[in-house]
Amino acid sequence: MASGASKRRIQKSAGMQDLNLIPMMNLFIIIIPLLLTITVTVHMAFLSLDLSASGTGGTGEADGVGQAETRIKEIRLILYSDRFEIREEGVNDPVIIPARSREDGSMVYDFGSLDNSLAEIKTRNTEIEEIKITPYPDVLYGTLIRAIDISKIRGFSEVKYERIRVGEL
Amino acid sequence: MKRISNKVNRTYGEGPRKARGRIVKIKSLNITSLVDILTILLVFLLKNVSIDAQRLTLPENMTLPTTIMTEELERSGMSVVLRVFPDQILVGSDNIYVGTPEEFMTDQEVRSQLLSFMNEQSRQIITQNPDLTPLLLIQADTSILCRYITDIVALGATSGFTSIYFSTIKGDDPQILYES
Repeated sequence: MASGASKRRIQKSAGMQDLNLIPMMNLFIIIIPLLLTITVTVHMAFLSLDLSASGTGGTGEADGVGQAETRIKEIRLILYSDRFEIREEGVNDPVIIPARSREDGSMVYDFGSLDNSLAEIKTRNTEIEEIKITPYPDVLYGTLIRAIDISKIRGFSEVKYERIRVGEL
Repeated sequence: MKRISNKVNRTYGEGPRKARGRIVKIKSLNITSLVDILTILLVFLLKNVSIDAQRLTLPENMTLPTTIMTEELERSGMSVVLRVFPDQILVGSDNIYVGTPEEFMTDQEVRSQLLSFMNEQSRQIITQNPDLTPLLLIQADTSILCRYITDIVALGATSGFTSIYFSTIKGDDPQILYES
């Protein structure tokens, strides 16, 4: 009888040590599939647009001799349905990058040349961070995003979105 | 007949003792290690799941463009998502139907409804916390024409959103930029 009681005591203490993990397991079984379903496997990216007013780029001091207002040179990238056009303020001839036509008649933009042209402009104007991108209404959103992406990669971190100006349509 | 067969079963190969031993083993199955793994997995998943699930969720039936560059969303910002599908425009976390992109361009009522909704959203964000800045997050299909995007950007800028972001998929290979 005495040994029976001590056995029960031992069983009791053993029972205290063994936590009941079944509710916890149930919780895990519900939570983990739920999280797995809502977890997005693709990595999302974000490209910002600069909404601030453009124009003068503040004041600059030249070797401490007075103050001179420096105007940031305007660089515009216009996306037409058949070409890219980069207009640089102070440069008469715009850079025109025509799209190539495929056999089926569709147009293919030359993003490689756009990249090279923007890189070349950036090397000449290292201080310029701003670029204005103007997409033609018929241009696809995918093309616009690629153009913004290339511009940002080439160091034009402030991308302004502009409508087609009067006379450009 | 039954009694005989029972006896045979018990005596054959010392059945009863072995069976009891097995039952004891099953009862004391140690699931602690399994719980450990599940805990680690749970913590990992919780860390990766964003609280702002809306902005990170890839919309169904939408092909987002792929980009190499990515920027961080403003930490002090609170975003309102606007999704532009080829056949519909949805806005907000509840995916409120606005209309088709064509209706947005041509129907003045659709446009004014969207404008007032976005005004309300940006006002709510500022009222909630003056330190917060309202962000507009545009998710659009690659096949959408820029004429819709231009008007949506203009609408966002006029309705109190201080920053506008385009949502894309992050690509790793720079070659994708030059592919046709």
